[in-house]
Amino acid sequence: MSLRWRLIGGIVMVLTGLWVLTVAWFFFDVRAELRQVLDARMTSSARMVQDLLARDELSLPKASAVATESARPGRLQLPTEMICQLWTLEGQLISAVRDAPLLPAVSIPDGISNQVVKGERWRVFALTDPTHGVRILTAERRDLRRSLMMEMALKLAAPLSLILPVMILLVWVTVRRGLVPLEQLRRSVQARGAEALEPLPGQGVPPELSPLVKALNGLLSRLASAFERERRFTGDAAHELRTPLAGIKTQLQIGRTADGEVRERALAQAEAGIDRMGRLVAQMLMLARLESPPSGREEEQRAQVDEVLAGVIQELRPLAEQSGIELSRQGATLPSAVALPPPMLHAALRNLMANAIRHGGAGGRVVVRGERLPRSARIEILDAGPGLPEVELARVSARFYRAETTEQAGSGLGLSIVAAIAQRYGLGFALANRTDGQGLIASLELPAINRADAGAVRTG
Amino acid sequence: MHVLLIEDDALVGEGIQVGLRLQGVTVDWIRDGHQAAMALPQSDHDVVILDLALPGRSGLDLLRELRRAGRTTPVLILTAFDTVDDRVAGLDAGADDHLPKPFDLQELSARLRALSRRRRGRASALLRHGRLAFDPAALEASLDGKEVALPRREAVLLQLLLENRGQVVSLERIHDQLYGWAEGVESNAPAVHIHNLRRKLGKELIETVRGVGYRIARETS
Repeated sequence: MSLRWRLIGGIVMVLTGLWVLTVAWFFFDVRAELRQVLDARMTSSARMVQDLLARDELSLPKASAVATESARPGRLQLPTEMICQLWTLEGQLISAVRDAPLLPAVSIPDGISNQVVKGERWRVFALTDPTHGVRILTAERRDLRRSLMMEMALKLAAPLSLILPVMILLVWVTVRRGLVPLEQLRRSVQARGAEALEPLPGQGVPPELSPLVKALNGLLSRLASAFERERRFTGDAAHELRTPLAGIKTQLQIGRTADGEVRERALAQAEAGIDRMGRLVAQMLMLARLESPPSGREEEQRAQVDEVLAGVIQELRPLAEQSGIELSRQGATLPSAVALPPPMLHAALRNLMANAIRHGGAGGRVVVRGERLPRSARIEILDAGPGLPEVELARVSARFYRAETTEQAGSGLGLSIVAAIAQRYGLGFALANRTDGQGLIASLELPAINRADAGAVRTG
Repeated sequence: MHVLLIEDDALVGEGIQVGLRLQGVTVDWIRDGHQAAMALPQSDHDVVILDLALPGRSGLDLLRELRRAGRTTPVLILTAFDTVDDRVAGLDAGADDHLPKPFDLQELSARLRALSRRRRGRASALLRHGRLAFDPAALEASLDGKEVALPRREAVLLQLLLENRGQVVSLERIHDQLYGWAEGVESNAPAVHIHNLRRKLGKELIETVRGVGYRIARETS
């Protein structure tokens, strides 16, 4: 439901309720006052008659007329057609006005009371004067009284009824104006195109909206960096794929126009190029997978370090032989299980080892060392290659980065993948120059799942 | 045509070298930005093919340095980035032409020929000299309209002499054009080609300048 209408609705309901209560109270109050006034008039008229009688200034037959007359003038203009009747104590009518109904003089009690006479409702004041043996009755028809009271009350309440629509209007206007900053914010967010990810201005924002704006800006900046990452990745990827494509195309064109040895070599090169691209695409996909948020379906999260390590070494032996590298394993067996899917651990180790083999320098040695630590297992891969200058060490796991001296065709993504896996699964990954000679040492620290596992000693 | 290729990728580089050689273009191949920076100032190649994405040195920087040093060798840049901005940046940095990857070998060599032609101030593709007409694209010569068969090296040599007619072409330059830097060839091999050319096209065509090289004299109208 709209915020504005919530506010307006709520305030208007409260104010209307109060207004209704006020008007009702006012109304009943006025009615009560009027009733008192009318009653007082009836009473005083009767007493006046009594008084005149006592002073002998009045003849009996005329008495009721006098009383009725007395009820007429006055500033209040309250026409109720008050009647007056005089009766003897025994119930004989002495004097009455016009054609008013005859009140049951004997049964009416003294004072003010409500009576029903011939189907009409009357309010009656009865005064007994034992001295003269008369009962003086003044009465007013209740329906006339009621309409009079209603008329008066409504007249007084009329201005109040104007207040309600004015109040509602003012509330509406005020709420609208009050919500203008919100409306401005909405408009400024809506006006942005899909690409506009700059932060919203924080100035001139009311304190209540400030946290919202901050949160929005946080979201926008996360979106912006996600887009930037994606853009860079697509840009880098396109570039990286185009170069092998160019190579393959050129080789195939040569294959078409040449023959013999040249042709054979060209076709073989083209095929090798396709293989290389295939590997690159696989790595790019893996990297994309690693960098997107985890899917709901989690694969198996337990990897046996030793098993995976042995598998990787076996897989890379042919490459090592081809490159003239001696690949050896040192250190204790690692009994621990670590919390990441086996394919991921495999990919990380494979990339590190392949890197070491490719850049290790021909005729060198690559050593894979395993070490058991209290809470984790550490795997170190050492090569005897040229190493890397310090300044490059930090940049080398950036995507598609290739160090200055690349002899063999690496894809440039290998270390990025290792870094991404390390980040995703909480592994420690470090790359440094060896202190005990030339070359690089890449270390991967894998937190063990089961503490007991990590400290256990296995024989053999 | 004698071309310098600066490209780090093995597959592409080898493809270009072999492919262009099949068309009679001699290619010298440098794979590294630093080496390129050293070799460029001294090159007297007809065209330079420059890949922009070199490890270590930016291709555009190399290009700018080359132009700053006053070298006018035509440069064709190869790149995987081919947005309009990238192309403009390359051309403004001093490149003469641009080819995105992947490219067609035929197109590459046609563009190289065009750049080489321009360098010599020639608009038309055919080289004419008296009764002789030479098509650098097909490496074919014809005398009075009749085709004369020439093996590749001889055709390349003829083209070199024709393109520089009126000037002496040194033996060294001939050697570079025909064989590039890589091959070691006997020093009298050009003489054999010259001999064959004279035999097929007429003795008067090519002059020997003793101790220096050879020359095709300018046409007298």
